[in-house]
Amino acid sequence: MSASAVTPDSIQHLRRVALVGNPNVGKSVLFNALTGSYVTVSNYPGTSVEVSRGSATIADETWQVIDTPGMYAVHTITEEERVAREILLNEKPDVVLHVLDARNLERMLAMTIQLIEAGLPVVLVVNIMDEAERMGLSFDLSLLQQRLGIPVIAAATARKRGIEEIKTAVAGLGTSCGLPISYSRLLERDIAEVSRLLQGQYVLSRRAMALLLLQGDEEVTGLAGQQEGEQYPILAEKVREIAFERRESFHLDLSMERKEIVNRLVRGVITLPDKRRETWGSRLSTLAVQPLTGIPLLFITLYFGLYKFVGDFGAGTLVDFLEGELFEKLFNPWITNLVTGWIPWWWLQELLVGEYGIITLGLRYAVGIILPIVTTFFIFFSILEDAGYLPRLALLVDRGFKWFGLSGRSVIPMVLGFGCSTMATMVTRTLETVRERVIATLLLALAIPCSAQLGVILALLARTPGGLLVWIVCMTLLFVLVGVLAGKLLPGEAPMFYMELPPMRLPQLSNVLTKTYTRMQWYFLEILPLFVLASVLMWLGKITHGMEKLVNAMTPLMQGIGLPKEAAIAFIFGFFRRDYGAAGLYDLQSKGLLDGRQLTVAAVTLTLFIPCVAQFLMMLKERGWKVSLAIFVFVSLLAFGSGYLLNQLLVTTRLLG
Amino acid sequence: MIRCGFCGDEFDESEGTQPGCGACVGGCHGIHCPRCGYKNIPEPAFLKRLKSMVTRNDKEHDQ
Repeated sequence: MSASAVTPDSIQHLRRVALVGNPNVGKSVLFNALTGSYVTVSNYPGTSVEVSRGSATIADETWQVIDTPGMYAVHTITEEERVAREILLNEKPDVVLHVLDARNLERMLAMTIQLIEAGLPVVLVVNIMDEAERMGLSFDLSLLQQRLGIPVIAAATARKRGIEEIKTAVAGLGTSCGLPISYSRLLERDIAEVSRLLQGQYVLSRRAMALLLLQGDEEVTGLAGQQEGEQYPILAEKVREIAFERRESFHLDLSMERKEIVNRLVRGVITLPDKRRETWGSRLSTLAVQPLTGIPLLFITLYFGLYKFVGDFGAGTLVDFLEGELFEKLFNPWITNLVTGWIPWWWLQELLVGEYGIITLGLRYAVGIILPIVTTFFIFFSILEDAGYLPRLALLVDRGFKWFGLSGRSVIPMVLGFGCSTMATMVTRTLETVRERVIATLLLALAIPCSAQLGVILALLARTPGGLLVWIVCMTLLFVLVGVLAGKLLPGEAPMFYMELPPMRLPQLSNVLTKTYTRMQWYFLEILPLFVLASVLMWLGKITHGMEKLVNAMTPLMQGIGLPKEAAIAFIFGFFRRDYGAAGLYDLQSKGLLDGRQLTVAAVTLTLFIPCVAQFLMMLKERGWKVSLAIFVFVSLLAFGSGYLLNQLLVTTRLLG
Repeated sequence: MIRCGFCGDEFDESEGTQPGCGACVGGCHGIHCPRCGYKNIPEPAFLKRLKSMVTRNDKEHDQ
């Protein structure tokens, strides 16, 4: 097989082969192997889901190859699955290549059954055979082929194994659609009753249509509504009647029956190794996703990773050394003497080594304060990432996030928000519904501090343990309260969340170091110019007295939350960048301008405070000006409102002395 | 091929490159997973070159 170039017009008339299957089964690798470099990637009409198409020559004929998004079943839940099914329904492929993972054959065969009963021309590709064989599994795929009545090919597409056999099967597939699948008598009666009432023309078999209608599939129900016309109410009534008879347990009943069918299909097909060892990774994986063990494990991870390593070591020991010893005691006095000795103009001295000087403030913040914190954070984060913990975290919080109208999928932007909330705001576009995107954007703007901000705050408050506790309680309460309110007030359902868990493994040192190095490199290259720019703007503000006016204008606000007027500087810094604001807070504390109460109030207000300029611009781009402005106003009011209330509470109760 | 640090999906680096969020100076340095959107970190060019040199040396040694 070789790839060939075809024009967009001619591609419409080609025979089509669609690749379907769960995510992570090697569909894209197979697609690349079939199509070579002649590939177009475009959004499926009306969605943000990308579909790859390419062309390939199979048995001297040019075919269009379509790589569909991952799907778990013909009854769809996510937007990706809907797109994959739309392709099957609308583009009527001549061959459907169902690619599955040999290591999970039992679990994934349920979809093969559904594709066969839908009447689609299926070829089954049992992929990742090399890994399965390494695990000691062996297969009798000719027996499976005989039982299913469709071609079954063993493959390891990443190693180019089975590609030729797949081509041959695609070219040679006739009109055979597999052997019939039989359910229990009761279920067959239900299917027959619904099928009998279907009179319209459908791409899927009537049997599959009946099953999808009984599962309450909204799109298929809508399609039946259009096709059946006046007969539809009778059909809908029959479906309702069956659902009532089964006490809404149709999904479960069907799943159990399909599981039983799969069990019968694989009997004698798979041979397991004599001893199937449970690895530490799989044990830890189980512990990480179960709430009873997963939540304590999460707290342990956060305590040692964030508090001890990032907060205590990074923002404490390393910052004390770099900022306190190297910059404040050695470098800054030396450079200040040098500049003031050589440069006679005070304004230039101010620009370089003054109060907001590029070197004495910008460079000191970037290298002395932020760099050690983000380095330790990136090490911690890379370890979690490389170990495969993040998807488990998504699964663990999925149930809790439902209260906020979010699903576990929202963990991705939330976790990324600890790195940079601007990029995380962009990633909210991958969430399924507009509602979920708005809620995630709000929570990111409100309560997810970036790593540097978090590190500084943890380090500062670690010296006032009561303050740290108050900060944690405030942030958790507000996150939950705003999340629950947003979930209740914004209409809609939280989407379902399915995720294939990649294996958990021991983090590899080389991976952790590479990831940390790359993240640090880009972060530093990114922040340094911005910190320099911020210093220049501050300097301009100082020499034009604009900064003084701004600070004076903010003084009543600062006094309202019990802070000295100098604290306004940290908030102004914070609007440039969150980490810059946190570094400003560090400076205030170092100068002894804040007591424990004030530090706690400032930390809470600054964490909640409006997003930085870049994040706000991203909100405008992603959510539009109405939503962004509403979030901006809400977050600002909530931040200062919470600061005011917290200050009053702490003053009245004398909780922090 | 790159493996997504979040969902484990394997994809070609070219599939994952997006215009990015625009927040980073000098353009996006991440590779967003086409499946879950997670921002993955590409391997630095010098490390790639180093690895390919090591692999080449190994092959030559084997031969």
